[in-house]
Amino acid sequence: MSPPMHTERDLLRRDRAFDFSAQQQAWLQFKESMRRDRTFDFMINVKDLELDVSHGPILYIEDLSVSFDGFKAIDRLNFYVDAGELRCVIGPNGAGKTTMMDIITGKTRPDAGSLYFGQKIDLLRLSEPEIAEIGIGRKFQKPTVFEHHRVFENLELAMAGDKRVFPTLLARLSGAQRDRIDEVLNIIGLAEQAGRDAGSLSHGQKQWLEIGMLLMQDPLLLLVDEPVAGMTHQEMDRTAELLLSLQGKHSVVVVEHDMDFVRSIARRVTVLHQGAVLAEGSMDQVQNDPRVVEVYLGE
Amino acid sequence: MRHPYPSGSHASTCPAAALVAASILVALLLACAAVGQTAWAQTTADTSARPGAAAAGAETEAVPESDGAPPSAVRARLDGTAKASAEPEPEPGDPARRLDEQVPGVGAPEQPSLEAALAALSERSFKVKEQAATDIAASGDPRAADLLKALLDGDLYYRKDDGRIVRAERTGDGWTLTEALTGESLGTVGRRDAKKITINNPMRTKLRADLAALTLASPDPAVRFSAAREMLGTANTASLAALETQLAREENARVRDAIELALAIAGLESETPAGRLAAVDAIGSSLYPEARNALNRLITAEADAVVLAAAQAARADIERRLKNNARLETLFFGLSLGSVLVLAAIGLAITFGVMGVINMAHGELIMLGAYTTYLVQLLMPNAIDYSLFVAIPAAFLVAGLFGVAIERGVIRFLYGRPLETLLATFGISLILQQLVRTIISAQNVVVENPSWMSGSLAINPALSLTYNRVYILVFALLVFVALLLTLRRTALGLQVRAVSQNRAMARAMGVRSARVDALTFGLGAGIAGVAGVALSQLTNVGPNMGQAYIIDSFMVVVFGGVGNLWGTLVAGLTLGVANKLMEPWTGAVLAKILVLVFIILFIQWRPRGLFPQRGRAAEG
Amino acid sequence: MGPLTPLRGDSGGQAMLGVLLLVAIVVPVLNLVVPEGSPWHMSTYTVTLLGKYLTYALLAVAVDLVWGHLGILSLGHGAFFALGGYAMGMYLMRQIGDRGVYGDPVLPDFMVFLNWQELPWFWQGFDMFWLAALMVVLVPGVLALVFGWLAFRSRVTGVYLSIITQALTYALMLAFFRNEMGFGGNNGLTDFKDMLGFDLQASSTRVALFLASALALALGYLACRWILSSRLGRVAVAIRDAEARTRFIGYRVDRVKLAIWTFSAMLAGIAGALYVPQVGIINPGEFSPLNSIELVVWVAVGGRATLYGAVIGAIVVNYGKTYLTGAFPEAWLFALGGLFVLVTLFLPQGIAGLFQRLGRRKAAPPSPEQAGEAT
Repeated sequence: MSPPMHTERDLLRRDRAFDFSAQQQAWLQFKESMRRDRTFDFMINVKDLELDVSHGPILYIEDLSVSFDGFKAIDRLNFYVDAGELRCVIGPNGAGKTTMMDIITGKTRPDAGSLYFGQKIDLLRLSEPEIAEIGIGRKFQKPTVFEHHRVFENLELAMAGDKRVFPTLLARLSGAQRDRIDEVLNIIGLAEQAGRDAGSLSHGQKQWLEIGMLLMQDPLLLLVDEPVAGMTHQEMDRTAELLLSLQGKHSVVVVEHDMDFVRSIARRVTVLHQGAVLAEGSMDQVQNDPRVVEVYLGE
Repeated sequence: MRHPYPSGSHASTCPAAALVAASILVALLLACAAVGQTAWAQTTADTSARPGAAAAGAETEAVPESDGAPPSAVRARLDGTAKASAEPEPEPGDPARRLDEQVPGVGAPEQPSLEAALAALSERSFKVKEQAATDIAASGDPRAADLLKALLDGDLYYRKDDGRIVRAERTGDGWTLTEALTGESLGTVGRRDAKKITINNPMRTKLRADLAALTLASPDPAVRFSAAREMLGTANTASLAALETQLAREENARVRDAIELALAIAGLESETPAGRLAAVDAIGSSLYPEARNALNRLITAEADAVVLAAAQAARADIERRLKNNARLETLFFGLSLGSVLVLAAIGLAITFGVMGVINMAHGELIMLGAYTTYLVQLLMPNAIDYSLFVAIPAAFLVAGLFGVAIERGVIRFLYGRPLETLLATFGISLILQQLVRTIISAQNVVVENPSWMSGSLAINPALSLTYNRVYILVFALLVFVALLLTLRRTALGLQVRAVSQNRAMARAMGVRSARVDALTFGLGAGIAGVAGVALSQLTNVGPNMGQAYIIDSFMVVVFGGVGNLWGTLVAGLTLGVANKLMEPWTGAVLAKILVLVFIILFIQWRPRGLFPQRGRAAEG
Repeated sequence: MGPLTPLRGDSGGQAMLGVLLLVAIVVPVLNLVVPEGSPWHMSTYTVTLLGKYLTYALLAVAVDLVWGHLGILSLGHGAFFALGGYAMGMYLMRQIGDRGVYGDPVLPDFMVFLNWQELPWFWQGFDMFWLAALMVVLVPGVLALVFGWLAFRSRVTGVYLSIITQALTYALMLAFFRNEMGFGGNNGLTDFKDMLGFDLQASSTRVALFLASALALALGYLACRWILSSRLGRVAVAIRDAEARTRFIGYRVDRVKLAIWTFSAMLAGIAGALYVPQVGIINPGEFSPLNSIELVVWVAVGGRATLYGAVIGAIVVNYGKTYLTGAFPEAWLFALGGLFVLVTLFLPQGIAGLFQRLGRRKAAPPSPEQAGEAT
């Protein structure tokens, strides 16, 4: 049984919180569907498309804008992430880092712009669960784990697989799945806490658990929002190690305030400011960029 | 730099909302003015409510018409020389004067002609009687009309032993007599001791004409108006003459209008088509039902094509105007219901919208306000007219204190747990209901309307708005404005908004959030109490009355958008009007069901209501 | 894997079902076998009362499934209960046949009274038990499905959802009060004679209905446990605790909610269908928002999110209600109102929480982690 088709109407109905732009959205989508080179692609089930990264980037963000009550949280942002890359995003408060992640994961709908996963998958046409299903995982700024579930169950729930209602009702853990959970438990160092309620973990442990849940999802693109907040240096080092080990196989976008941590993992750094890219390059490059210095120190 | 996420709470007034609300009201007022054409709005006091109050009303009404009369009346009473004074017409609206006249001798100088004429009625000759009637009519006495009417109706008798003219009422085997002029009781006499004063047909015709002329000439415009109104479509030659005479000197626009219409309706019977055409033109688009009936009669009988076409056009015009009137009336009823909803919901908009607290006991706070009104009226039974002015602050205090007690006693332990708050306050609502049942009564209690709340505002002959609804509509808007100003302009309002937007930050800046919470909740509760005062004037007051409003109130707040007072106003008025618009087709219950279903569906479409908050603050 | 597997780890549920089994054996014996004069005899009235409590318990389980485990506080579950009741009531009405006051072979009395000439279309077929039984679950199920589909897909949550569920049952109450709806208006459906050919007044029928209620409660409880002990149940709790997070790991939150919500409504419908033949009447008062909110308090008193707590709460509160409305009618609303306040303030875990705390204290002093969890 294949997942049901999603029509334009379905997609338009999503997320009423930002309804004022619904008509604009509808128009954009209409224009999009009328593009000569893409006629009839609204008939294709977007999430069944193969991820196509043949041109390099796994994530294309182009001319993206969103505003809240007139405030432009994201302002014509252009941002690309290559497949297998580990990218760090820094920027002062209110630069739009978290909003960007909200948009990528479908939580917030942009007012304008395009957002593609690979070359073919239009993320703006998918819901949050669909986006998760095609392989984009996210760790939140504030660690959110299921506090009333055990650590083991948290990982089980996050595990990649058929997440429709009836298969979930009838799901049984296979031996291989159990092994995978154990493996992740070891990676995140929570093997001994596997039977404990997640709510009883320390802040740092919850951060790790959330990263573990990300790993269980086995995503192609990981969006990691402030992974080391509240961690000791030791824990930070292990996190850096873990994130570094992911690159190549996974693409990772890390938003972080801690510059030492960013320096320890980053090859390329993007600086966001007022909803747009201010600078991009290696850590040394951006640190010596006068505009970046001004943004961080000048005010 | 601007604050990145200006959270749109009640403070961020939605100009669109204001515009909608204002335009609804302006539209109503303009439409009323257009239909009313003239600026005459007239009071028809409901005299059945309380006699004393009605008399007071009549007195004030008479004043502007009898320029300068009261002082002379007073003088007449003082020195007993009414006849000698230049004022020939006594004051009909002055009860004191009437009292004086019952004392023999005081008004004596004026009476001989009337009394003599009256005495002549006991004669046998119709000629003498006719002359007597004419004399009575000419006497200028305010009681003349009453006597003539009694004569016409066959209520006048004379006592056989002394020929005294009396009114008689059949009791058992005899008559109970009262002196015709003074109303003095004369006891009971045998069946043969009094004889009816008979009249013949010519006399009857003459009497009618005299009577019409007399009442038309009354100094009281209300009497003149009802006389003219009675002659619509029933005028005869004699009354027509009286009408024309009165028209020449009539100054009251409303009476003039009625007289002109009466003449025009009579003119429809003109022999010449030109005359009938003129009459049709004169009727124009009058809203009196008699005008339409007369046109209907003309249309069925008319032979002249031109007149017929004019009459049909006039009738169509009248029907169009009546339909517009009916629409306006529906709109008014809708706004009235809407104002009740706004009143009931606006306190909730504070506690739910600003504080995020679900107060299921809100309806019971309204009930407490209504019961406060009841108790205030019990305490001041002789001053019902002023009771509401005492009840409003009293209800605000009572309900407000209950609110503060509820907040301090229960709700403050439950912040951040909206569902638990919902359950706890529901429990409180049950306790309050039972409390009222146990202490006062399980039955509904009677809350009286002050006299100034009864009666209606007549916009035109086909449209009148009851005062209680008009006042409550105005009152709802006043409460709304007062609340808006409180939140905008006062220190408390500032603190409330600060706490509602960011509790931790507000506290860090020195706002005592616990005190602000208690006061905010008290404010919301107090407004519920004030709403209860208003509702006590419209509906039954009983222990269950709050339950009738709680769901509606929540619907209004949710429909308008939580945290937005303007939304509440627009939502309340919209739902009220929608309800009343549907009622003619669906009936009241189904209309209500449909409104509920509509809101349920609306929330699916716009989960955050008509005027949602946006941005980060809205996502919590 | 046996049918009792879902009870693993649910000691409260095991105890509750054990007691239920015991009661289901003892009550019929006390009523049917013990002679009437004996002090051990249980009157048919009491049997019916207990049967009524059991249907309430099933309703409470349905509410706890969505409130305790899915985070949806429904203030409209009374509507599903009443709809199930009406479906059963319609069957019972049709069974009266020509024994009604007006003696019409087909039309129920109230329709004759309203001068209706023929049966409305939606009454057709309700003389067949199987159809009525189907409708008992289908009607509440379909209503819940439509309502839930609309609400969950547009992410109406929290108090908003609670308030519109309340509006739903309120609207239904108003609608059923109308004679034109064809469900007997004010008076509802009553004067039932028999069911499946058995006299509803007979003790044996009452006992059978009691046993059916006990069985329905046991099966409904097991079904809920089965759902909750599956991965879907864990997803439900995940939705309750962190809805957005659940969505970001790839679950269709709206569909999970819809499935469990609809199942819960069907359970409520079954409870209503068993309730009606025992109390002998169904009227629009059952839709009253007060009823729906009252049953939330049963769950709160018993202990939210424990499932067996809902059973305890429903029985305890209703026993209290029966007692108080008989002995001190004035006091009932004070008691109920006080219960709402006290439970939310001082006993958020309900009676079941009290048991758990006692049990835990006996077993071992709470570790720091557990203490942290309790806050």
